[in-house]
Amino acid sequence: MELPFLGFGVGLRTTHYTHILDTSPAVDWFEVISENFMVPGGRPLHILERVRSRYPIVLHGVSLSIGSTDPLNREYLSRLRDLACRVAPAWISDHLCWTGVGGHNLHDLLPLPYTEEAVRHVAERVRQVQDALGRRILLENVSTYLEYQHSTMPEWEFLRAVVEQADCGILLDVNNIFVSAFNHGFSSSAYLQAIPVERVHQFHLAGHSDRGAYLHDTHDHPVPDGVWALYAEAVRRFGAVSTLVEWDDHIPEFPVVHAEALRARRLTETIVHVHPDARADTTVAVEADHGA
Amino acid sequence: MSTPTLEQTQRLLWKLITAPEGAASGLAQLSAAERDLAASLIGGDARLAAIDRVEVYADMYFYRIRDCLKEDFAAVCAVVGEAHFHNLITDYLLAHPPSHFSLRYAGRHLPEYLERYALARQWPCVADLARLEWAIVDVFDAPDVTPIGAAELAAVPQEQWPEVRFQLTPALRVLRLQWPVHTVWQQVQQGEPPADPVPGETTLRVWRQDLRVFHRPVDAAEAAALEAVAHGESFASVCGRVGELLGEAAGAERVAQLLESWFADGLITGCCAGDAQR
Repeated sequence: MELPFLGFGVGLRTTHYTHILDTSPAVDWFEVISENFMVPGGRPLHILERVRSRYPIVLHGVSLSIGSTDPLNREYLSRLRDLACRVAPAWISDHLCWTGVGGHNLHDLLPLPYTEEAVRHVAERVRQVQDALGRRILLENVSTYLEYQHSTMPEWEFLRAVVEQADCGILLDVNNIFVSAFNHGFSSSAYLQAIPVERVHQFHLAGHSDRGAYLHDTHDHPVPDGVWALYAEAVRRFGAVSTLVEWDDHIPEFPVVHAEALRARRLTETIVHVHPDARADTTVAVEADHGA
Repeated sequence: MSTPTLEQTQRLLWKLITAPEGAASGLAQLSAAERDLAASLIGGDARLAAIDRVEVYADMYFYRIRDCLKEDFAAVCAVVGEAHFHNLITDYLLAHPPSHFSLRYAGRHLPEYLERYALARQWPCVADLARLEWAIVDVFDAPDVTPIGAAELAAVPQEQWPEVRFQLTPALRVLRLQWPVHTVWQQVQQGEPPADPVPGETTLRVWRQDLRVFHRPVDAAEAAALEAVAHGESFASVCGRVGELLGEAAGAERVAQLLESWFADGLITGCCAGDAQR
């Protein structure tokens, strides 16, 4: 699975549209929430195409529901494929979770039991999704607040088994590992060490909230020191990996979020060599597509 | 007890997460067999009991959707107040749990739901206000179709005008309402306390032009003309409908004015006479 190294990016959020389009900040790339742009028309797609004409983008979904026992949503896949044709993302990702059952959507990322049944179920569906999209996808580990008593393996083994059986990539969310490690009392280092290096194509960084009894993946804070330390550990194991800072609530001015991405770059550069032309410029390609 | 299947696991968790009074209350309402299954399903510890772990998800489910609907129906929320809105969404989610993959559609049944909801007795305009707010959401990301200008119509030979039919942009909604709720919407937008409107039949058109969404009240003639055009009626027929309201001569003049404003607002995306499509 060959994917470009995009450098250090930021999640595209509506509050930053004007700043980004007016000033073209020197951010390497943007990740966008796929569903926000799987709409018939109007401002969202207009903005996305303008951003795409200047920056590489990645589509990051929240509703694939790859672990659900409901049938795969073919309309969803068709619309995702259409969006991908329109904006030529560097890759498409979603979460290793389920988001609904019985035809209902919880609009949340629910954990799966870590069982052989779930591995087979998810891996088969990933293969179907990859066939429908005509490309491999990345799956992200989610923050979890509960564990199932009938799980037969730790989360990292489950993740590894799924991606190897499905032959897909990993979006490793460092903050989610940190949060889940606290919530369930496992070693985040052991988690990192169990993940196959060649499968990891993207990192996520974000802030979380301390609720006392548990950590909550709220994406409303700067990246905390503990997550930075774990990120450094991840860079030592996986090398320079395309990294994305998420900030979804109480979103500050764009330069504050961008500063987090720049910090990730500096930290990475202290550990591994980052090619000076790290930004893989796929901008021209999409313009050519549109002209065709 | 045998190991729960993936489907059993998901269905049980869905029940607990969507229980209106929270997961603990939902647990109490399960059948004995389901409670046994639930007890064996989730692990807890001294720091956080199993049901409190499910409660984290129950809270996220409700508050994420409530916050989204609060944005989509900000004026409804301002009229009824935060506490009533909270209860409204609790009840609404029981009747209409989200089924679309996108949160964008979570509120699509709320205007209709409000018609029969108790709050509508205290604030009878809220269902209409919700209709306006949902139309704004709907038009915001409706399909893009490039509008045509008046020159396109001028290019049609005049003798063919009676048979001309117009296409309207998909980013247009015409709402027939019992309350002038656009005044309430405006007050909320301006940060003023919403005042109870005086009841009165009102037709609003909601449309998007240049990526911005607008709305304004229209009179009976424009309402009739827009509906006739939307039904694919010919130019002559549209003039006839407006003529029934205003008289023949005044009707034709009014339709000409309306066409001018529709072209200016980007509402017309095509016109054809017979087989010719422009």
